[in-house]
Amino acid sequence: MKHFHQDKGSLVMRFAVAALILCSALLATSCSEGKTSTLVVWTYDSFISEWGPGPGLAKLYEEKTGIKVVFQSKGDGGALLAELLAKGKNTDADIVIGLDDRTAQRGLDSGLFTPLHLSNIAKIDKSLIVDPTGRLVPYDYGNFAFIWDSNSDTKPPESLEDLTKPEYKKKVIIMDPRTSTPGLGLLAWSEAIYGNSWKDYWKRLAPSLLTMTPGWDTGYGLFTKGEAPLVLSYSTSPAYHKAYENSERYKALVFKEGHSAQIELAGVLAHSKNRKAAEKFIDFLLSEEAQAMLPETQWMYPVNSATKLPDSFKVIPEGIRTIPATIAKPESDPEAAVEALQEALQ
Amino acid sequence: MKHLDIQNLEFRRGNFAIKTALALDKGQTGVILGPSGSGKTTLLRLIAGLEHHQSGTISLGGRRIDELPPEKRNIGFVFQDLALFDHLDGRNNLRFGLKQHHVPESEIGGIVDSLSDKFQIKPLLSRRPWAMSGGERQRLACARALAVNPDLLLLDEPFSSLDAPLRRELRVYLRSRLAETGTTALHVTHDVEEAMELGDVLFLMNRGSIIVSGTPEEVCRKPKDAWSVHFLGLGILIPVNSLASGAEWVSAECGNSGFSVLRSSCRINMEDVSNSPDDHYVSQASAPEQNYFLFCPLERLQLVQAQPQAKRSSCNSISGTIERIVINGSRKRATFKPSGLGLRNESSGPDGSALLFELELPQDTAAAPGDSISVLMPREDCWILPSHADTLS
Amino acid sequence: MAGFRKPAPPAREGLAGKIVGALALGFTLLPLAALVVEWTQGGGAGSHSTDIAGLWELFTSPGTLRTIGFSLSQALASTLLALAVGLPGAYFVANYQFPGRRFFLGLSAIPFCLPHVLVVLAFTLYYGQQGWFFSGLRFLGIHVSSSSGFLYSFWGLVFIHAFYNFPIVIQNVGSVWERLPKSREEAARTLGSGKFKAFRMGSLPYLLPSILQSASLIFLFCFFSFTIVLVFGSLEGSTLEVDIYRALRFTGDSSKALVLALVQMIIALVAVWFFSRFDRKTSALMKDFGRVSQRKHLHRPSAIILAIYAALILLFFIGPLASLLVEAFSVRDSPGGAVHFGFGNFTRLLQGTGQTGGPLVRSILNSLMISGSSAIMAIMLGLTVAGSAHSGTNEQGRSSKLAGLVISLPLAVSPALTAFGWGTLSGSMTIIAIIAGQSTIAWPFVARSVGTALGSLDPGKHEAARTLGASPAHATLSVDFGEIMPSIASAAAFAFSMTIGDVTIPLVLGGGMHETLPLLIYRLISSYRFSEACAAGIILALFTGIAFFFKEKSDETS
Repeated sequence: MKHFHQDKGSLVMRFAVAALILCSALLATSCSEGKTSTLVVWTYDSFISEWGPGPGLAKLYEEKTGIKVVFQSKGDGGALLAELLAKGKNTDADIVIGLDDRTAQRGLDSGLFTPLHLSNIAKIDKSLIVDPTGRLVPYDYGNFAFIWDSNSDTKPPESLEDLTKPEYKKKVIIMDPRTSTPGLGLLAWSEAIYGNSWKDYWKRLAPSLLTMTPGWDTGYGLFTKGEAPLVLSYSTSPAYHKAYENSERYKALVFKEGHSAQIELAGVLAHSKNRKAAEKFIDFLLSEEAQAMLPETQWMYPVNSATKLPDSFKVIPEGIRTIPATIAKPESDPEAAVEALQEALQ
Repeated sequence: MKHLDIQNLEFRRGNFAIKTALALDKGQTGVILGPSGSGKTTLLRLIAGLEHHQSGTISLGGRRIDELPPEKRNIGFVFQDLALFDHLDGRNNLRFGLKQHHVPESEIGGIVDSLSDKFQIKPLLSRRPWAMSGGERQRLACARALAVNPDLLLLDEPFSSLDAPLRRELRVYLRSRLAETGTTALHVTHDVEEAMELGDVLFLMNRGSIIVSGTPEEVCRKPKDAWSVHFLGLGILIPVNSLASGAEWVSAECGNSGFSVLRSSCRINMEDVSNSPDDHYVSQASAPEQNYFLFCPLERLQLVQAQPQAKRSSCNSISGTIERIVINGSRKRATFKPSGLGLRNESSGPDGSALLFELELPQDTAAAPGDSISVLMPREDCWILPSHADTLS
Repeated sequence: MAGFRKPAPPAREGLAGKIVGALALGFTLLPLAALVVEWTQGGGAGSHSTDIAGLWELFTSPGTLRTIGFSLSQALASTLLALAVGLPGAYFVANYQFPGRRFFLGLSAIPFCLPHVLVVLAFTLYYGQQGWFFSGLRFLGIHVSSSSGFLYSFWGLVFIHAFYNFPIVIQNVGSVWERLPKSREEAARTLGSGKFKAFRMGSLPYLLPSILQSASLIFLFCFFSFTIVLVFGSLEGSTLEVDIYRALRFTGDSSKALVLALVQMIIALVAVWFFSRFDRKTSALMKDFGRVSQRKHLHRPSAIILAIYAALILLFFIGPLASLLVEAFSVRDSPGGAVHFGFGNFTRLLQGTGQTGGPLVRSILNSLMISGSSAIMAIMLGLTVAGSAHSGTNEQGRSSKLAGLVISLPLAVSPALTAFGWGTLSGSMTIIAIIAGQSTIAWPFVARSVGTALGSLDPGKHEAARTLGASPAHATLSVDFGEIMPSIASAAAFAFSMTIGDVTIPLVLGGGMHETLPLLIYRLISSYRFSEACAAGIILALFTGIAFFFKEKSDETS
């Protein structure tokens, strides 16, 4: 009886091994995708989503030049940088769109980017050019701001400090500074206002927080779903509601101490085989034609000052003072910010 | 006053019903014998309080117990699957009931010791039930149930999963333990041999009722219906089509054979039988076919090879063939199939069983399978029985 | 009682079995090895330390300890709550016959075939500030101001976990309970115990293995919780899995990822050990008890308790699922605008709003392709391992310790780490990494199910075929394969429904160009397109549901 068992077992096994080999062979053939001579752009999710600028830009550029542009999303901005640094020179992209002033230094330190010579650079507001070496160039920017739901019975706060008041207990949604740009933005903002005592600010802020989401979109989604009356976002957010819902329910709040800004940057990888073509695409990105596509897809301000703003942007309050930006120190620690929050909540 | 006294007990669940009475004296062992599905186990569970009856009373030692929860009835129960606690060793299985009965810790040790002596389970005390043999588990289960000195011990076919020699051994064993402790016990089984050996009183149960009770001898000597004859294997049964009664003798007819039985040996309602002095054989229309059986006990039968030379008037006779012969040690048993009764239906025994009988053959017989034989049944030893007796009242 | 029996003597396995075992072990541990290599090379952007002392320091840092504590405490609390919710259900399902009994049992499909992304969606829709639950309370005039933020708190997480997983308890404990003979409990009654004590003596010890089996499974699921923790935020703490994901994806901190992954694996292995141990005991008990005992009809007091229980389940558990369905068919012309019912969300997913066309068809095709491949891979791996483990079983049909470890280990390995490791190994071929990663998750379930079937094969039938003139190979193919075919089919369906709902692995790998259904849902949720996310969710649930239905059908025939 015993040897029957053995027979069975090994036969089952032999059958399975054969099938396994067959299956892997099938897989291998089906997965080897042919490469074409197109521009590959690494970016983040919302840039390439059907509501983002990616598809439109690619279509327009192909019509104009015949060159195909393929966008590949790497998730959020933070994930984009992480993968770029992890892959280094093996990165199979020509262009990276989606770094910003907070992450630029780490990107530049990697030595992966090449200096760019662009004709449209003259049309860009000088204060936005954060990389004097010209390797990472700005393509849009936005001021961080808290958005307030005017239908709620909560009084709008007037400063970062106001947010720590007991009346805002569990009324604010922010994003995780470890994984999201607005989160990092708030960190920079609090550093700019409070200097070295920014950690204390985060501790005081903790009770007011409903939740800290991994990315902007989740947090903002929860806000519009009515989960909280206040959310960390950009001053341009009300323009979205104006454009798509013709609603002015959600208002950007002007804080008297000023606002930090996010400047989004693009660059060309030095090891790219299509460097020239890539540089041309960046130049196109800075042209008025391309820039005009950004406000109502990215919900950011164009950097080319000749670009005409859409009507929806008129709902953005005036008087938002931008705190001048530099490339931030890479070591300012989002972990410490989250730890400060968690300590305060325990 | 009976020690265990059950009166007018009624229980219904769906199509299944129990309606019965039962009484047992102190110190006696009663055996409930019946086919599966007859309600034996349910009756035990009703007594133990594990099922709830609809009406009737159960008294034990002079007190009504039928309203009490199981733990207050002081009844020991040995389950068919023994229901030993597998996560406790033998000792703690024994101790469990004693602790539940708040026996002082100082006494428990002594009781466990004497019990394990009596049941020869000393070596099992530190073992878990899964490490014991079938017989050992059996003894432990009985000892556990007896530890708390119950007023009544109920045993639900505890030997059913054992092999034959072990069953015989444990039967003897259990009988002496019960006698030693003077325990009143009620034992359920479908094994006739077991019932005969263990029971002081036998209760035959069928279709939810106890139909016969008495000592094993009484039950075998004076069967009340054809069903119990069939179940106990007491003798030959022949379905009767019609009956006609004379002054002293009753004539019974089956197919094309006729039989005579003493009127006093008819355990049936004689009003059903026609009285016609002119004609012996008047067909009886009101009695449905096969409602009555002719019965002759095994020990009265005489076997005759081939056709009898001359019909002996003092005997009824039927002829048939030997289907099979089984030799069991010094005994020789034949399976006898009656023929010549002209029956259309093969299965015309009680409850649709086949008409086949086990007969004892003389040691020196030359009979072989396939032989035709005749069976002679002395007229005075024949009975007319109903297929099912009325409920015991 | 086999459930209480001593372990059988260890099995010896042949060389082939050892080789297959080692290969499967290697397949499971390869991603971890990739991370170790990454760590020794000081790879990743934010790596601090490349020596063991540095790892120890990371392990003992307050941040790491807090994460470990949070992971453990939320998993433990979730498990206890799931038991509390599930045990009454198991009791009713096992002991009573009542309308809706099969429905209760059917709920057990949900933890296995409703992807986490949908759970998150359902609970937000239902328990959110504007959700059905609190709107309902407000409608009744009850204003619960403290409700705000419940979902985002520790107890909110525990609540979601418990209500997502409790059907496992109903299914697993119930199926032992319904077979458990009442005689032991009755024996305790006749020996003088009250009802409660009798239950403790006569039933609880026999239910305990299945309770602990369910508990360790739920503990594992919650301990590895990813999507739920990720979306509801990590203000109060985060699980090891989420922190591993962060370390790998965002900070590129391979030493931190390594430390967290090792800690997670060690804890999970303990839970897996518990699970396998009690799983064996449970199936041994089931086999011993055999037939299901007769179920009682409900009488008044228990009927009332059951009604209350069912109402609570309906309110807290079915409610969120129903809101998912309703939301999928709720069409709004603008966010917050008037609602009407229709297929608008589905058509929008099909046609799209931009120039690129709808994402739905593409993601369905991607899902089918990727999960199909993963399921096939998982079946092959599972079959190979189960087959080789079976050839090394002893007389009692128990497989060896190595086989046990090989099958259990993947349950203890972080999916995020698996994804990352395969991503590194496969270079730019993300799709290979996704398939490898997903099949790592699914194959142990295949091996387990096929292994059980192989173990219960009746050698008599094989021998009968041999005596009727079949060669060993022919007997195996025609008789044994025929016998285990239903369980292979069942395992395939289960593997498919597991992999098609997986979001962790593509998310970690950033498989943007292979957008699967769950990834699409995740992105739709992220973009606050709840209705469309629900619509896509319904389609995903349809696929997992069909797969699960096939699994159940195959289980019935096997």
